[in-house]
Amino acid sequence: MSGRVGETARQREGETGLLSPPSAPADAPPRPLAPSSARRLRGSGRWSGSLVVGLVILLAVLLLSVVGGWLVDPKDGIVGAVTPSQPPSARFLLGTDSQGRDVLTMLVLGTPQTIRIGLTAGVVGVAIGLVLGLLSGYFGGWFDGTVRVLSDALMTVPGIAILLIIAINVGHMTPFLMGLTVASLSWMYPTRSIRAQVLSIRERPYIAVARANGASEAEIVFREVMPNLLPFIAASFVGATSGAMLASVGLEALGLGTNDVHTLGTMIFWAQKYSAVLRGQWWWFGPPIAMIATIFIGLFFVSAGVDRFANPRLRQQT
Amino acid sequence: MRPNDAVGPAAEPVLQVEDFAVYYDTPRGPVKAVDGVTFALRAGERLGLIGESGSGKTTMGTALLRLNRPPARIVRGRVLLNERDLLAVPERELARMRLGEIALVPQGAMNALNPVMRIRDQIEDGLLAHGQLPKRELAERVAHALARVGLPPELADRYPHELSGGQKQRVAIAIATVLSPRVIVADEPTSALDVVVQRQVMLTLGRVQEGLGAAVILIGHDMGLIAQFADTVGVLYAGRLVEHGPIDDVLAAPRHPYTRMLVDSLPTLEGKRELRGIPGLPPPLLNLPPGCPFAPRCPYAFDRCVGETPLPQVVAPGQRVACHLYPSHAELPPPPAAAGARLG
Amino acid sequence: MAPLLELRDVTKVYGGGGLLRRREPVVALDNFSLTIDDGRATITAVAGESGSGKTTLAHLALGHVAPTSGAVLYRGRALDAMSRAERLQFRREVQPVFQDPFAAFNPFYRIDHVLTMPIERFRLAASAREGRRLIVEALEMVGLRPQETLGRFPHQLSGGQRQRVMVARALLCRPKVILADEPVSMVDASLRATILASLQRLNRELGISVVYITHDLTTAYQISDDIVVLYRGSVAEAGSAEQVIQKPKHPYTRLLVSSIPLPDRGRRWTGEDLPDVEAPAARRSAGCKFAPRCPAAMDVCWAKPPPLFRPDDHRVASCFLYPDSPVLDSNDVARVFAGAPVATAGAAQ
Repeated sequence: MSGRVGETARQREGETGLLSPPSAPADAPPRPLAPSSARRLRGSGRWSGSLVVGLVILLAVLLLSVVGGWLVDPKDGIVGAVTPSQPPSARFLLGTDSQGRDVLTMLVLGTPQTIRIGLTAGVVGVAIGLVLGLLSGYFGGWFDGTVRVLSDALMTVPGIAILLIIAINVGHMTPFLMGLTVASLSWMYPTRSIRAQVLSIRERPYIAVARANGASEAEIVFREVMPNLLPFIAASFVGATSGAMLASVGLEALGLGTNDVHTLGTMIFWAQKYSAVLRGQWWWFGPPIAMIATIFIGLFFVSAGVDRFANPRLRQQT
Repeated sequence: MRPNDAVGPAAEPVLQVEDFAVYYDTPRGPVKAVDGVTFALRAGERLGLIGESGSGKTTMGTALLRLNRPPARIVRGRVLLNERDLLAVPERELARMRLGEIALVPQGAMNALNPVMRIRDQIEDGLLAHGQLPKRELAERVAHALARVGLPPELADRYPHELSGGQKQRVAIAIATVLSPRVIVADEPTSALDVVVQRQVMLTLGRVQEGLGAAVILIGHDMGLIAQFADTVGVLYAGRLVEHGPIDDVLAAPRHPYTRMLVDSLPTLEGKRELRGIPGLPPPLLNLPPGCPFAPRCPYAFDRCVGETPLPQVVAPGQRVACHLYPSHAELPPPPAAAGARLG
Repeated sequence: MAPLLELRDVTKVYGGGGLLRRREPVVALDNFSLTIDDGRATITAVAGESGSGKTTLAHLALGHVAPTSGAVLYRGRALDAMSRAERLQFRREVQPVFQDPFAAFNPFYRIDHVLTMPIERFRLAASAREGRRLIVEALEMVGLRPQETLGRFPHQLSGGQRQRVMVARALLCRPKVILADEPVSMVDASLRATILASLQRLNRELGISVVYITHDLTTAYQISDDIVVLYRGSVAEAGSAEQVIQKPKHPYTRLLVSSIPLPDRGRRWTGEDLPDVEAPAARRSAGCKFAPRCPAAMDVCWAKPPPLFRPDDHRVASCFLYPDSPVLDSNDVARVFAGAPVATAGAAQ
């Protein structure tokens, strides 16, 4: 390499002396461009261990429900369908309960229902939380005051009491109604969490820059603020879903759940009602508990890894 | 590498840093934040280490006291404080030497004060870590430490949030000097302060240092501040010391091209003139190619600069430069014409 | 010369009310006036330390907050009384450059986002191709290479590059005024000169006025024509940058200038007793705000606030050390700026 190293190499760095005219593009090895979106999605440390583990667990649970749903006969889940109180065997992989229902069938049919309840409440809760949090955080004023008072008050009231009152008054409980019931108390935390984040984002210089660029307030809210809320929306969603699932299992275990549809919570109710623990029928109360625990572990891992997925800055190691 | 050639009284160095290197371990390879820095510090000397972003100065401050944390790792070198190598002594002795013989005033020291502890407790913290003292003597030492930085003794019973920025910074200096250390490392001690307060704090630091007969290493990016405070200056670039010498000499006639361009880019009140910066960017410290790290931006660069890393060499008593222009030149020649004159 | 941007007797007070405890109100800016004229592109520095009100001034001039009293006018229209179209024009013609080069970018988007948005919103280009050309031109004008800057995320660029993108963004809008709030304080020393030089270039070649808000008097001196020195919300001294900085007349300005750490071994700091500028004042002053710290404070200074005395044609100082000087007939300090016409003898004496 000979010659005017200083000259050409300086241009190589991507900056020209200010008052010198920009030089012709390079003889120089170009700096690596930002990777394409497909490559971005795949590589660069987005997928942390937690996220992968969590998603695998949840996927496995979902697979069990879907595939299992094809393989089991729902009629085996009706009272009196099969020989009662049988421990697990080749024919009944998870045994049968004292009502003559196949536990595996109930598990396979009940798991998606519980998940559905959780998701319903999660979606509703986060949707409400997003709208309220965004509007009250960004615009403030009396609206903000009202939302804050409402959410703070509801957060301090013992949720189970409210849920009991609602559930008792629902005529015919379905998974969807159960979802709405627990959704009534799942919106407060997302609202507060998202509001707090909006308050912080609102003060950032890039909002002022957007204003200087001529953006309207609506545009700022949707194009500048909201994308940066994704990690919080994701985290709130996972939190709301798990909270709702737990609440619904609680209500169902008390007997306020659905009568005709299997869920993990109703399984626990029936097992408890017919003294499965005292009678040592572990195959009856064990599986629903194990399944709930598995779902929660999966959600936990996902929530641990989702922030890094949505937030480009966290991906760099150093 | 031989340490600085010191001439004159008190020539025995109190701190000798030899081939000091600190790397950050990253998945993509080592980032050589500090790569073979050598210098010596005499008692009472004020050394200013100047560097911009990516120069390694921030890493240096903490690593000198072995306060670096993973992924930063001290790779090699010796830091001799009174003949004992800080990098080799066992933890217990190091803990004794820290604060007792070498102290750090960290960057953002005002935020390093514990918000729920009174000032008194924080100063006592340092004292008690080095031995039990009777209560009365503790109180005396605290009052004395505060007085030394020009703060009234009543301040001892306040909390950090009741103090102003400059006062907090002076408390940080008080904590650092409570055991009369021989060397004080001040890492950007005034970065968040207003200019008048900055002057006050720097003058305080200077008074304290003179009173103790201690040496100071002032790390920063403000050449003006270093010019006002320091006796000697060391210029850091890409983790290396590219020039080192008495501040008057280095400012009046810089030898390294980077130093020259840095000094030229500084605004002064001498009269209005065209502002010029240094084009280009500092090199990424990951996978730094061999050769002089400044070569891509250097108007004097020639063949040798690209392949061979220049080592620091003595060009005058007390002055060292790491540049291939020396020793064949006595001083930095005028910059080559834009068309690129070749230098041999 | 029609005023472009005008702050007229603007006062901004923060605080002063709490639910349980009355908080002490803070007067961030006190009866301040300044005009930037159309037709004469100047660089005006607004200098001060923390608490001086310079940041508040930036927010007010950009229309981010409303003044407690007084008015901010653009092309003669008050900001809060503008129509939507007028407001859009104001937004386009008065552009900011902020201090933090990282926080100024939305981390979700590539840097192109801040460059394409104004083109769309302000309809600066008739086609996508022309828009792209404008962007490339703006980037090159600040010394960046488009092919190495466009398409990247903010964290992939250095602080200096990001700040230059911000300057490019501002000039893309073809503004009349650029309000630069500490644009180089978070950038390396060697890069500061380049960025400031680009602001100078915009001023000279494109006729854009610049309001340079800073705490750094040396760079203010180097690039500005005029300067306003603020202390606790009031003007301490203002006028031609050359005069105010080289021969300051207000004690506060003198204190500031003598505290600048110059890389000049000929001008050393002295260790003389400095007033403790941070300690709470022992006595409250009903007059000059600087009295508690002023080495030259007299009785009158504590009693009533000094007006803007005019000891020189192109300078005002609010200080009773110059009681024989004429008083400026308005509080618009722009009257004494370097390019402003000087009143003929007899007019304001």
